[in-house]
Amino acid sequence: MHMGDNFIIDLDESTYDLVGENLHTLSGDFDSVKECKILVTDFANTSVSRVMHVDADIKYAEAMAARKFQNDGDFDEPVSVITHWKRKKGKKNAEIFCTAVPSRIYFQYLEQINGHENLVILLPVLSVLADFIGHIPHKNPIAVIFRHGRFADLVIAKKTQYYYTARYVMFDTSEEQILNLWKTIKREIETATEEQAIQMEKIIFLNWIDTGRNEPFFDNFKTDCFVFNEETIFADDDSYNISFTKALKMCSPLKGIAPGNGKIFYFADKLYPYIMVIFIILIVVMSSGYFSYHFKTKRLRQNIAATQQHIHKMRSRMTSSIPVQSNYLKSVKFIDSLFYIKHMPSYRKIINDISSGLYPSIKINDLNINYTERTIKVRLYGIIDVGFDTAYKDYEAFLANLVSDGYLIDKNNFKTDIQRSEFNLLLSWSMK
Amino acid sequence: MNRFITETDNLGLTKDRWDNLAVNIKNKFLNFPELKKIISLTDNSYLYYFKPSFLQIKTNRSGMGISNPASKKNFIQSKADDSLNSDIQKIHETDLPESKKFNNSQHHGDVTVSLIGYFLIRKR
Repeated sequence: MHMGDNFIIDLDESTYDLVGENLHTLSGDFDSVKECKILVTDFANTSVSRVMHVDADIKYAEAMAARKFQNDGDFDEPVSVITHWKRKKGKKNAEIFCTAVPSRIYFQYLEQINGHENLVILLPVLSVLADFIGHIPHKNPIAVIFRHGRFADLVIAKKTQYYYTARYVMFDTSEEQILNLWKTIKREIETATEEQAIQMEKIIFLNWIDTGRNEPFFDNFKTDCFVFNEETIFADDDSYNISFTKALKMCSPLKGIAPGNGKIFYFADKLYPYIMVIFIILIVVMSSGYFSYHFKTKRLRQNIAATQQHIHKMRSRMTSSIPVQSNYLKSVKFIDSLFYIKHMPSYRKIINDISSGLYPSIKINDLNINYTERTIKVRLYGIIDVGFDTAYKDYEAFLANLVSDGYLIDKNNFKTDIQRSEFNLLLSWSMK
Repeated sequence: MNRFITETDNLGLTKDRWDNLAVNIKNKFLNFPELKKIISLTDNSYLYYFKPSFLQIKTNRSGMGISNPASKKNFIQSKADDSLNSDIQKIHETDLPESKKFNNSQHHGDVTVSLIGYFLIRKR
């Protein structure tokens, strides 16, 4: 159902229930109204609408307007002002398009709405007209006329500026009265156009069930005039072509007055099907997300488990291979050490190598043999107890023998006092 | 790798199949026959291996030392004490017939010996 399709129209002291294209006359109270409704009213012809200038800050515009209504003698009782539009004009000036309603009547309506289960928004007729102008494409000001029963409401405005509004009342709906009405309206429009120094772009007529479409005003205006798009409304075994209901359905419920949380309830009610659809979509999306997530995490868990199992196997292999590797290295090391022991010269071999090269004149007093990793260091300290000529010759021959046996001479220190000589020798042998 | 380990194990070429007996002689006074005996025992044999590490031989008396008085090849003897010559020569000729002769002395404590190493004996 289109938002705003359900209305109660309280107009010309009659009450109608508009549901879609069906209009039913109600007995006068709203008790039989079901479902969410917007109450459209002219406040039983007690209201006065006006576009006025107030000498006050814009936030006090309504209060100033109320005072002005009373000062002008429109009301002799407290009034409530419903603003349709207002605009700041200078520091302490404002313009306001509003409807003044006796507070007594106004609160009566609000109480009716508050006390009703389904009525939630109060929408003055002038609010409908004011909002309607905003929906009509135009550059210059336009005039909207809504005639209903003995009354005609006029609003001259453009989107950003409201110029004039008035209600016209006839004694009856005779042709003569109607003709006079249009003459008056025509004159009023011309006056307003002249006073406001504006050029009217078009005049739009909104009709009601008791007004035909061939109103005489068409002949009276030079400006482009037309009846706004009508729709067929079925009411009490009859059908009518009405444009006001069309304008009404274009009107935003936000323009209405909602006591308490009326607007919230209204929109919540209207949006309920959409909210439900969104909610169901959300549930579906979340459910599919959950299942998708669950499926993915399940796969992920399976992958993790497989990886952990793989790691566990690798660790087992590594753990089992560590002792094998360790035993292997130990064996290699031990065999290497056996090889080394077997092939390194023994103490006796070294002593024999040394002694075999000794000449009778050479005596060794100190012998050191030191085995390192694969090298043997041999230090010899000795004396040669003959004259230098023989001693050095024997010593050189001794060294030559050692070299031929595979020893390297790292250090060779030979000292002599002619008759006797000493030597200090450092040899090395390495396994090749 | 496993095969190698198995083979070495079968051949007894693992450390746990061998006993390790350390030798640590420090500044011991020995005469030449004793020294010769000890040195000869540090040769590898079919019963064991000897892993040499350190040997120090110092002569204790002035003029005594390792020498080869008779020829360039065969002897180590003390020239300071002629009476030892025959003994030394005898020792070397009898105990070291492989042409390597070791100087010796009948005097107790001809040399001071330090010897470090260990025997590696295969377990039966």
